[in-house]
Amino acid sequence: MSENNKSRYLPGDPKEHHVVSYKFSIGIWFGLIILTIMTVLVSVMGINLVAFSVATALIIASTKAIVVVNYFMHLKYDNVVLKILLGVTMLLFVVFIFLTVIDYITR
Amino acid sequence: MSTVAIQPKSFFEEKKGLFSWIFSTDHKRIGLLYFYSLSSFFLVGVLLGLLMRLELISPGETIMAAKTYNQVFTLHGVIMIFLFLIPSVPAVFGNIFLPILIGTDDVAFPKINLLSWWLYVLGGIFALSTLVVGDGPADTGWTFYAPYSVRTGTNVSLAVLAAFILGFSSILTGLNFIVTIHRLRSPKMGWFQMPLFPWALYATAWIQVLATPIIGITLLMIIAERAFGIGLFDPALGGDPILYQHLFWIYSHPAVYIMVLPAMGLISEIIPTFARRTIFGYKAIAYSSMAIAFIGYFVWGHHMFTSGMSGPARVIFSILTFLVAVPSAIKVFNWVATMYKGSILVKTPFLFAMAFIFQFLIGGLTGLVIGALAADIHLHDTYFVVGHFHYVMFGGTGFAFFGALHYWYGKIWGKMYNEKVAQVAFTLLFIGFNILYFPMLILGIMGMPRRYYDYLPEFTTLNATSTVGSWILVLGLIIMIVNLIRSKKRGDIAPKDPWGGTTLEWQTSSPPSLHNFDTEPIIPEEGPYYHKD
Amino acid sequence: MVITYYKTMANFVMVNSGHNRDDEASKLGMWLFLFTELLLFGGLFLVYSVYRYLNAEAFLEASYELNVMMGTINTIVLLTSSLTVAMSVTAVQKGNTRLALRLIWATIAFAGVFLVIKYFEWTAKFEHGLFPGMDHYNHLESGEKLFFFLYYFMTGLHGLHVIIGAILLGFVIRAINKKEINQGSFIFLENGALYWHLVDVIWIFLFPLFYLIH
Repeated sequence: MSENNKSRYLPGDPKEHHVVSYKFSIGIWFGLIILTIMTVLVSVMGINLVAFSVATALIIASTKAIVVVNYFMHLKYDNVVLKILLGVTMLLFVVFIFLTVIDYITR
Repeated sequence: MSTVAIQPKSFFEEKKGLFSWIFSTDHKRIGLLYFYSLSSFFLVGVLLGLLMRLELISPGETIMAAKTYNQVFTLHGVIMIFLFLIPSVPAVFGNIFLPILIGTDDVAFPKINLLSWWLYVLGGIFALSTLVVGDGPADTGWTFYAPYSVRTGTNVSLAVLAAFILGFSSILTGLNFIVTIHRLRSPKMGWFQMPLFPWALYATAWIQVLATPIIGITLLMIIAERAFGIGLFDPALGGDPILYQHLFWIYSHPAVYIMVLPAMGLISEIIPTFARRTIFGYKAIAYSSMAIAFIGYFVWGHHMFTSGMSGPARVIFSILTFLVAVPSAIKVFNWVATMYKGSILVKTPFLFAMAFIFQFLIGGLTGLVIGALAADIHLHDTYFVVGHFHYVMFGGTGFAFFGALHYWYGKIWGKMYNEKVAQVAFTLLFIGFNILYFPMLILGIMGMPRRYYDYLPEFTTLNATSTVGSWILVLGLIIMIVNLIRSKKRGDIAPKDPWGGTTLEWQTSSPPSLHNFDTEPIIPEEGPYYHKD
Repeated sequence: MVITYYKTMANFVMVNSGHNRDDEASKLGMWLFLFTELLLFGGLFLVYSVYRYLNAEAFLEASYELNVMMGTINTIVLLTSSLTVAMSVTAVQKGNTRLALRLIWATIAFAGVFLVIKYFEWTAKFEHGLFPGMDHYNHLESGEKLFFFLYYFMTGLHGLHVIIGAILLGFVIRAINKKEINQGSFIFLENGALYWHLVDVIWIFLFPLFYLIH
């Protein structure tokens, strides 16, 4: 049982708890709304290349996700280990899809 | 003989009674809870295996009809894989020894650890309930391939729900171990001062966390298909059964590494102790555990070479399969090199480790045979595959489990097992195992298919031989179990360090006290396996 | 054989005890759990990818049944709920407990709005007979059937996670009221917020893949 209730600190941990200002959060939110509107417009205005629309949709969605993860979920200000682990997890998932789809594309 | 021993209060002597056990958050008690429940399920699985071998002692229907046989081998697989092998080493030895090996007093999330065990028991109850409910246990094989698994009237949904719950248990264990290893190591123990069993557990924990959810969602899809009749995997309704196989094996191949990596970690602990030498190539073994975990995610297609995948996909998966064998081979070389010029103490744990190396080698090499596309056309779904995976899973993980049981018996229960009886048991186990499974490799090459309750007359001799092997194996099992149970009362009092081991568990009392360490653990600067001469 | 046990007074303090407070460990544990959730949905995204590739036209046809306006509103609702819960963390860090509570209640309210809109979307489809087993559904071609099944399964599983997230935030509110979460100790709030953001991120991908195929 520790006497003072301070949390354990190991090398690599962020030194102080970074505080994200209200203004900054609202700014991020605003950017996310813009991206959302963009992605709806791109699809509604009907750019007819199917492949293009999938790619654009995924790129915009990924951008939004990266913004949420880095700023709302604080990952940008966290221990670098967490960032690496998330990266590896996402890489894994992408390779799963890649190897599976290769089967279907080359049949 | 009356001896008086005085030792620190062991974790057994703290609060007593059933409730203090099943509500305990002590990692050592949880590990033992897993051990007792796991062993029970294992014995049920063994019984089912014996029944299968009895059916196969002669061609034609011997003791059961075809559908019953299908149900028996399905339940045998579900129990052995989900209720025994996958949890075995991490949940029993990982729980008991991981905190001790890294110099701390518990895992990062003790309550989640307890939850893991409750989920395990719940999953086990669901799995066994398929025996008594409705149309009996699933008859699809433990692989639950669609579309048959969607159409059959047996208890597929119940079995699949059991596997889902067990998956959750596995995920929580892995999550706990990752955080424990990242955050709770002794301050003087960096990553590369950590023993190799924790390294193996770490690599395994990543597989548990990242691969298990895929089977979770796949099993949910099977339940949904059975409930709503959509054509996700049913070709008659526009679905693709091979997609099910992709999803299933994306988890189930890494799952075999969940089963074998911790066992390899055990061997890396046992061999340096009994060779009285430091491990050869510590970093190579640590890295190879991570490499096997990583590459192992990408080889799943080798279970589907004859299912209808495209040619290029098959080639890619075959190449990756050959690649994953490399780090495994590195481990075997390093274990053997550790023994070179060592001063070998031949005791039961060491014997199991030697058997592991021999049997894992056969299992691994036969895996390469079926990893080759041309050979697999002939060997897929034959007894060659059955022989292969029993060599790695049972001859590998199973034997490593038994070896660790003897290695750490004194540490856990405070008494030493009877060495002579243990060696007799080992001999029977080893002989029985090889007589049981080696003929399967030959039968497979001769063309005998797997999952059949009947076979052509020319396969009779080898089948009968195999069945006799199963009886010798079980005799060895019985002797081993009786020995271990009796030694708890009658064995010699175990010292702190009966084998001259150098890792941290040998600095605790036998059994350890509640918080593991009574004095500050000493982390040797030279590394975890440094032996003074 | 007689064994006598005595209780030792440990002569050292274990700094790396598993029973000490360690916020980074709790956070790492939560992130690992989020990884499992990502891969759980990932399996479904994989199925979606394959079947969309194999049934591109059918998926496009079927997607016209979905209401882009409602989907867009729901996306904005979830993004805003992420904002409010993120701001609640800032509020606690600044010691402003009352604001934090209001923001978390707002988050839960947005969750409710999301679910209500979802409810209307789904029931509208049931009225058109577009659920597995219903008449209109049964007459669709198989590619469209797959689209709808995946739609219900994936948005349904997501909706379940919205409910779980809202309940989790309810527990966070209780902990704030009991002063267990405060300016010096708020990892439970951070972790609850992390879970909520995950729910948002999953929807960020669900939305274009189902509603914006054209």
